[in-house]
Amino acid sequence: MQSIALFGRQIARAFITSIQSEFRPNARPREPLHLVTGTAGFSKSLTKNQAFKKWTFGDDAYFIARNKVADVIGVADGVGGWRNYGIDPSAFPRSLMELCQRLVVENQFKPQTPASIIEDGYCELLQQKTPLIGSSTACIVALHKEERTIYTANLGDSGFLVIRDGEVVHRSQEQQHYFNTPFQLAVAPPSQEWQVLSDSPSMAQSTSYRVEEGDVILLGTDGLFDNLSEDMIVDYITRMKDKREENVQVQTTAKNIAEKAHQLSFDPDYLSPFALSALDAGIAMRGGKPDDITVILAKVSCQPEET
Amino acid sequence: MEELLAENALTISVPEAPGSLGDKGSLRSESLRNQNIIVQFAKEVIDFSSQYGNETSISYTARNLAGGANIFPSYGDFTQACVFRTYGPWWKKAPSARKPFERTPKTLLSDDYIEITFATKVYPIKLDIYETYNPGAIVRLLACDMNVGTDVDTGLSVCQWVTLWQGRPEESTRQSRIFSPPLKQCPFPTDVLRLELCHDLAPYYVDLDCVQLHGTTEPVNNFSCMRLHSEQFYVKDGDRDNVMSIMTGALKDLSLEPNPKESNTENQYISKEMKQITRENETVKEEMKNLKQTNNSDSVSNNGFFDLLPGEVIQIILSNMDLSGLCNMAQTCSHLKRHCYDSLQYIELNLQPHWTQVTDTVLYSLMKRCSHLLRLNLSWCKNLLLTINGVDAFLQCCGSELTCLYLSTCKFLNNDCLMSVVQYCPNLRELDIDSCLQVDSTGFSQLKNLTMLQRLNLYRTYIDTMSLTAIIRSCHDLQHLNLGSCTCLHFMDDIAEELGNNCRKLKSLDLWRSRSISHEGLSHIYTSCRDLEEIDLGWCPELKSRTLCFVELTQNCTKLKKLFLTANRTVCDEDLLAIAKHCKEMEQLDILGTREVSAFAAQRVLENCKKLIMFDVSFCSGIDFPMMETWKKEFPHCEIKKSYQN
Repeated sequence: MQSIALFGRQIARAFITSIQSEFRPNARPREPLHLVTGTAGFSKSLTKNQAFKKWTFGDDAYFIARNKVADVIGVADGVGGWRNYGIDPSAFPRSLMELCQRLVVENQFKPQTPASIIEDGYCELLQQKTPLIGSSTACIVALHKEERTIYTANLGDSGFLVIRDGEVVHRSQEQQHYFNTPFQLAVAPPSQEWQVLSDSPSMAQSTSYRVEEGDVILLGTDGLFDNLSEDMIVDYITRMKDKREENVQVQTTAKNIAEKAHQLSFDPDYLSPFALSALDAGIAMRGGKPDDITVILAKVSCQPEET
Repeated sequence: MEELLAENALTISVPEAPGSLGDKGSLRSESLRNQNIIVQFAKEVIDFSSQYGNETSISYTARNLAGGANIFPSYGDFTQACVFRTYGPWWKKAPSARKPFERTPKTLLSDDYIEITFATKVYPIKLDIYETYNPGAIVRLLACDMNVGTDVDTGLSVCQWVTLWQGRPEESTRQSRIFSPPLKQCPFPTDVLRLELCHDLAPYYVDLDCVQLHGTTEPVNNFSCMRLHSEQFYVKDGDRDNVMSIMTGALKDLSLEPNPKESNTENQYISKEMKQITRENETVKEEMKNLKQTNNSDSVSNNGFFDLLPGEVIQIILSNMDLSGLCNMAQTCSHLKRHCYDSLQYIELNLQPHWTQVTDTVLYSLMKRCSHLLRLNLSWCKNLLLTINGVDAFLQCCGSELTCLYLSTCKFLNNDCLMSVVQYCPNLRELDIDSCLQVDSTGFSQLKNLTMLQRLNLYRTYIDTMSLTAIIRSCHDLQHLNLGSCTCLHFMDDIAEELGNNCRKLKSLDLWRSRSISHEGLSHIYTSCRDLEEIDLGWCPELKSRTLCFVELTQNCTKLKKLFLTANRTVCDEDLLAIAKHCKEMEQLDILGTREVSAFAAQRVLENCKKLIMFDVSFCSGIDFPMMETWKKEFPHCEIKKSYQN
């Protein structure tokens, strides 16, 4: 009964999903680590006129970029409130991620300081001729191939988990001003410069963590973490064991996680992580939190990828 | 070989060309059979004259020319492109424009250049230039040979530049294109290329995406893909109608004689004549001899009509010739040589178009003739050709009367060299040292001794606040000051205050991409420098319209002819209405990238500023394209710009 209702709601809400896997043949003698990635996500909003854009799910945007020293993944979650001002909230995070991707590909960054990618990306954003307005959170994970270490930077309520042998061994910390108001990068129109919450890119929290082959890194926006508990996520990831067709598996798992989160976000009776933290903040509510969902799943791998 | 190959290079085997075996030695045809064509994108940008973007940025900067295609086949104004600082004829019409030099050859018209390196040295066969916005500006391609050897006298390594193609700018087709001009055979393998651009016909900024070089590791015997176009050697000049042009024309013909041996080396007319200057006392080239002989046989005892002409008339005729013509003319006969060597013919010396040939020796030989030199342009001259010693000696000899010295992007200019400029040229009124990155505060602090300076161009240098303050305090006559893209000026408000206190004659001020100028600094300018005709405040993020700084600027400086407020997101209708009301002299206005202006206010500017010839409203969301079309009909005298990304 419940599933029929859910099905109906899903029909009502158009969603988009994309499947993407990226490979890169790696023929170095010492075989440094690299990331096998899969991405999936859903847009919460009706997408009538909005054409599907590369690297976005609704107001979320992400990127996957590789250069000689590092594999870098990142997500940014646009603040939807700008829609009321007639501004497309997805433009800001999309441009931010595109610029971060270019910075990586063009070697204009140090993997050891991923916060500087966010900062430089934000500065580049201000260097565009097009006046861009909006705000977004940002989370970046960079795997230094030779050092076998991930360097991360997080600003706002997107986040990542590093899962090893069925356990979360490293995670990001949420940065919020107050309930449901994350730290964010913003460019406001001149008339509202004083009213808009804008955090400096240097507020980003940075960590580093040594990873091993077989570790799984999950990067997601709040749409994922608000609807799916860590245990459920870990559960999905531990099921992914087979070493064959790694990339297909990673992609399928990412898709399954995103679908589950999407499904639960429309469940009015589900006691979601979001509802729990709302209760902590003194707000009584139940159910999932309909939001744009982006999942990037990356498996730390050593073997040369099959093409 | 394989190590040398760039990652993005791919190799194609060349099928053996039929007929290539004919008269060639067996060894060479053997090498041709094994010939591979290497195709590679530029690895790195090593030098350039200007760029639109911020020095440390990846948006609209010169370094975007390296690597593969990011934009092509899209057409439009994209951030990933290599973009230069200026476009079109506008900059040359602004109050800050330099007076053009006499004797500048009309065919050498480059405004900007960019130099790139490739991973593998090749003999270029084909060069693909991906032009993704306003194509048609490329006028010259050159290749560099860094391994010519060392100078016998100085022991320094020298380099050689050869023009592979030269042409005229074209009207933009408003489509992206791959431009592959027919190249001249390059006599050496090269990994350094230079593109020169002329922006005169560009309707807006010129964007280049990438450059792809096709070449072989061994010289190609049948260079069939490149027929020699006579016009690429030199000068089509139909427009010169004085007597001399006949003679120079004859000289040109002589030097254009298709000489296959020479086409491999320095085939350029101009290089020849420059060499001839240096070889004055040596045996003159054969064709020159011939010409002299014919001259002599016609009139051994007299010089024909030239003896009848008063010396002043000959001087006037000579004054119409470009520098190469003048140098050539000196070779014809002793009578004319005397006139050609007259120091009054060398009041102005523009060596920028001849930068490939300007060496120490050339300067030494010119030295004797330049005792009354007033203006000297050594911009773009190369440090591998020209050394500090050469410049030093030249300025010591000819610098005392010099009033204008242009040294844009001169790598040889370091602190020592700048000190000798200050020492030997005390009368300098104009000094351009933009993009001279070898100079630091030690050198800049010397400039305060040039108290007569009226014009100082410090675009893209490491000038610091202290040195600049000292300069401003001692140069009260400053009229034109360019501080665009100076990354070391952290306290622009202090600079502005000094300018307001000391330089009340200021006519033009360029603060492009100053991160620290705020309304407080600007207020010192507009309250004191009422004669201001031009101010560039593009990409100055700390200037906010709500402080009314723009309104007060227009109220106080009513003589403004050029105002650039590029990418100031706060510019609003109020500012435009103030411009419309107060700035009747306005000719060029740029308000790119603001969401706060309406079509109504922009129209008021168009209606009230009758002299407006250029109005950039790109990326202003309040002004749409249909509106633009209406305006174009209504205000035909004004070029309204609205850039776009497709």
